[in-house]
Amino acid sequence: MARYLVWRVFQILPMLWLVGTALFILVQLTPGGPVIALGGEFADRATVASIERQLGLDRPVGERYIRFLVQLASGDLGQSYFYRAPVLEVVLSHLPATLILICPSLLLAAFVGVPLGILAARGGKWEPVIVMFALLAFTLPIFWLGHLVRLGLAVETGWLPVHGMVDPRVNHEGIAHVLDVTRHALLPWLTLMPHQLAFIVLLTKSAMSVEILKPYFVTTLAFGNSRWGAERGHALPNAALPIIALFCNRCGSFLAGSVLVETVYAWPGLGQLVSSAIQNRDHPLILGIVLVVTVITLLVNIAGDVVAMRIDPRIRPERTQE
Amino acid sequence: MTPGSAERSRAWLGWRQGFAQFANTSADAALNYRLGKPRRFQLVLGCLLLLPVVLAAGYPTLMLAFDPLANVGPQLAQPSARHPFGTDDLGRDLFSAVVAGARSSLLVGGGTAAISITVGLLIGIVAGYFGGLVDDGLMRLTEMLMVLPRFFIALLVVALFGASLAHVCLVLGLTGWPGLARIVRLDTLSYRERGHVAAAITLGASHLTIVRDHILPFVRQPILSVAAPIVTSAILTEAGLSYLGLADPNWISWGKLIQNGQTFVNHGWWLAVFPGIALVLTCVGVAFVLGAADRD
Repeated sequence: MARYLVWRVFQILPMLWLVGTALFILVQLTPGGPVIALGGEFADRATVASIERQLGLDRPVGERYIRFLVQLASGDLGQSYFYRAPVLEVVLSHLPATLILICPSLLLAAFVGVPLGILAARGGKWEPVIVMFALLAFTLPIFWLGHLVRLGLAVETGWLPVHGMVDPRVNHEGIAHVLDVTRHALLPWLTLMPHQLAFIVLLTKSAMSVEILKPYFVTTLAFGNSRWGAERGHALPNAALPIIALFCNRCGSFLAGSVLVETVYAWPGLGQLVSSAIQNRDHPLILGIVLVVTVITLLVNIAGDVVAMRIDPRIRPERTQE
Repeated sequence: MTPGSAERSRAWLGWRQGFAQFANTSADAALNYRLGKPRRFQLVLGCLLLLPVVLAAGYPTLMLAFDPLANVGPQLAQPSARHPFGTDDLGRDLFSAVVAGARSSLLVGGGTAAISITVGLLIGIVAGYFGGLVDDGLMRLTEMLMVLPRFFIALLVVALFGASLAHVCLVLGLTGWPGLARIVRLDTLSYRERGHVAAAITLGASHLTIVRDHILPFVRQPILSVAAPIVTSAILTEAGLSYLGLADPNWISWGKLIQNGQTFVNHGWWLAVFPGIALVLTCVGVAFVLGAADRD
């Protein structure tokens, strides 16, 4: 297991190399060159000089490329012009707030979505209803939904806080602080949920509808298992593999949804960072955010592989290694 | 008639038959009894939802009462008979803006789908047909692209290269093909072993002919099943980028309208609500039509 993990983490290195190369090429190709890409069109002379020195623009392309990769590998993603701090530090300091939004809503979506998906896979009168609602939720623009929810439950009625993560007027400690954050997070959770729920429902439905047609499922029913027992005990573990794999592949899209929702609610996470980076043309910061998000999606996919291996003993690390 | 032209016309005939087949797939899907009532309902509903959007994108002059960029009424006026969706902070007619925004959304959806489907078909067929190292390399690439956070990559490219619909289409199109490529590859692997392909090889057909005439017509089926998510996610991504402030300045975009509406949230609910409804109608329409036409 440990060997497999090490091997799997080792496997993302070529991918990181590819992403780094792609980023390098993108920055080089930016109209006006890397100086404008990183410093903006109106950078002063000192900034330009510092970028030129940092990137070694007087050096040949090959040397610059190697330097870029070495910097990436050592976690040096450059300086954010707006925050006047190393990019990695800025991004990592905003990450926890985003995780507070994503993780609970994803967990809740999974607990509600999987049973709904199983129900939809049975066919019958509920199937078209669930699928239609899932399609509808799946295609709702998340920032628009957030806007409506905020308009209805916060701006007009005043039931819940309009934006932010904590009440700036009161300095809460301990449990009160947790409750305050929860109160502020309710609307963002509510906004993130439908899309995640719809994805999980559609995913579970398509994976389960394949499994319940297989002979082993009929056999378990013939042995006298209840429908629900057979689905939960026999079909779901088999259907879980594609569900987990596709769910992990989708990680980047969940983060994108969170970025948009955070912008709606001015939640101080990655989303706010993204919009401030766009407004301030803080390109090193955007680059850093994209890199961090990519690394997160890669790690989540590794975690998904490990979970899939725990669930299904047929996937042996030895066999995958070949 | 020279042999070359006969060859060409035969190929053309093949394509025409192929397209007829392709068109029939959706027509079949609409009429086929196997589809069942809910699916037919879904298809009809989807078409009804899409109709106004397609009309607005194709013939905006039919519906435009005002110039969407001109100051034609009082500022922030409520929806009325004259301005069915109200007016914005500069006194521009919101209905005209929403109508004018249809074109950019459909362009992004269609452009992205066209690029993704072309690349996906190409890579899937090449990987499945040639196999070996080519297959391995292309499939590794596919797996990598599958995991990449596309929204963020689009965001980076648009931020670096400037906001334009073409950039959005290119980035989303060039990263959106892995799903199709995987399915097409599996189909190609199985069709490669069929008798008619062996017969074509025996007759000395070139790789191009075999792929074009003997494999491509059979592996086109999955296009419909992957097209819906590609189109809707492209439309929503473009709207999301516009919402974040990365809208193409040359086009009216629903995302940008929603962003503007949020700025004036305390002055007019209609500003953000109507462009959002248009966005939802478009995406649901696309999802329903393509989802119902897909036979699997």
